[in-house]
Amino acid sequence: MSKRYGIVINLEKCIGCHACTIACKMQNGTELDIDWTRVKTVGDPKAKIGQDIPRGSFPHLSLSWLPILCMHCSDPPCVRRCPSRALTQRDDGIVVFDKQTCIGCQACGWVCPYDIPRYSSADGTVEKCHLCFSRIDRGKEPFCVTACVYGARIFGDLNNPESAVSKLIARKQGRQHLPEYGTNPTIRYVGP
Amino acid sequence: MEVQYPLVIFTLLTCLSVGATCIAIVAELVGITHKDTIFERIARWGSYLAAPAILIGLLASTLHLSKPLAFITGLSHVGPSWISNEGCAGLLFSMFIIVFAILHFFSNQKGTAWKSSRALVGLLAALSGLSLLYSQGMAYATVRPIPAWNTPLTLGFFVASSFALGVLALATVLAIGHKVTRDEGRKISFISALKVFIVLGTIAVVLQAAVAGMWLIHLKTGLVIQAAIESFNLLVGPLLVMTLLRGIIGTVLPLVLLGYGWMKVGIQPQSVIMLVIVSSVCVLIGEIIARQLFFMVVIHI
Repeated sequence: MSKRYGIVINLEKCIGCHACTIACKMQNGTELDIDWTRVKTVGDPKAKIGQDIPRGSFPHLSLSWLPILCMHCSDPPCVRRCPSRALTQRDDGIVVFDKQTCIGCQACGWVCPYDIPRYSSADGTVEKCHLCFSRIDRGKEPFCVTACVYGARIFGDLNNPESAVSKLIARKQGRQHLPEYGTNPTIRYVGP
Repeated sequence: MEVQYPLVIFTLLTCLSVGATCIAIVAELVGITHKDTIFERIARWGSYLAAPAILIGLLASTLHLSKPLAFITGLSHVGPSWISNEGCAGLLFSMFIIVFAILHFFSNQKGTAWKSSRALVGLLAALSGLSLLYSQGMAYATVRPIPAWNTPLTLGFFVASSFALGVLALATVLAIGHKVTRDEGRKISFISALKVFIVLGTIAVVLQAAVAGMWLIHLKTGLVIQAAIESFNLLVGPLLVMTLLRGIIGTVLPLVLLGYGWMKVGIQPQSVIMLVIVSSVCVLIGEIIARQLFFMVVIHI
């Protein structure tokens, strides 16, 4: 069976430090206003972006974080939608992009349920997380996984039942984000 | 979302062009069996209106891309990508409608074979135009994360828009081109055609209003998704003035003018011509506002 690479994010361990966001920027040289992975604060709905304000009232407060990155879906709408085939899916499930082929129509950003593709005004093309496939091809992990301070991110082959990711998903009932959109993402979450 | 003006122009002119083409081909086919030259005039002016409109529209659509000259690359994914389908249908439609217009331009004193070929080309233009309209509607209607677009009513919006713009734009062109004539036969034909256009235009504007109303209800009540309700709140909140302008200029005014025109068409056809022209301009302005709102109410989930 072919590999299907994914990441399991343990929300019990994520402390919202954004090390993954910064590491990704360092690794991929993204522009200042473009984040290929970002961390959403799950707290007071009235809080502005960037404010870590818990929801509820004392003593019943809650605050958590939800790292979002390209879900590398099994049925990626962005790949289907792309008129120039700039977005393609590798055999191992990683969705990659080709800046030379991209014509900048931004349709991929419209159809992505996770609002992942980012338009770069510098060169008029779209870019997004590609799971550091060049590192994976050299036997390494994506840089956000390596950089995660508390080991909240685990990388592996979802098609291998003996892999750490598969065992974690089975043990802690890993779930997908927004499964109702039917894209079957490979990024899974465990924890509250 | 920011208003994407190249797409506003592209969709507007596509709807106008396809609508005018469909009316033109109906007139073309009826004209094969009816001797009255009014049918040929409607078909001819329909093609003269549709051809440059779609060319300008396609040009505008490339300006939406960051690499306009690479638009051909955007035709690489026909089938799964509605945008590629739209591009291919657009090129086919423009090819057929240009040939249709050329065949009309050189049609003086031509025989039955010429007219039959022209009718066939016109039919192909109409079919490819409808395919373009469908692809364009689906390109927006299938965007699941944008509830304001993700509804069959989006396709309905494009169809109603095409009907209204096509009818009234063609009526305007015919009205402007009509000269006062001593030929009572031609004058009577023109007045009869004007009556038909007024009826069709009224139906089209009512249909547009119905689709818009259903869409508002859909946003408010049809979905539980918060983004849909937020879109509705935008329309009745910060964008209320634009929403009202769209309704008044794009629906109420044209209906009043067309209704008045219907009453006067047999008595004062010249003043009715002006009413039809003003109605068309109102519908056009209403459509521009509608498309601006179409982009401004976008809330991504």
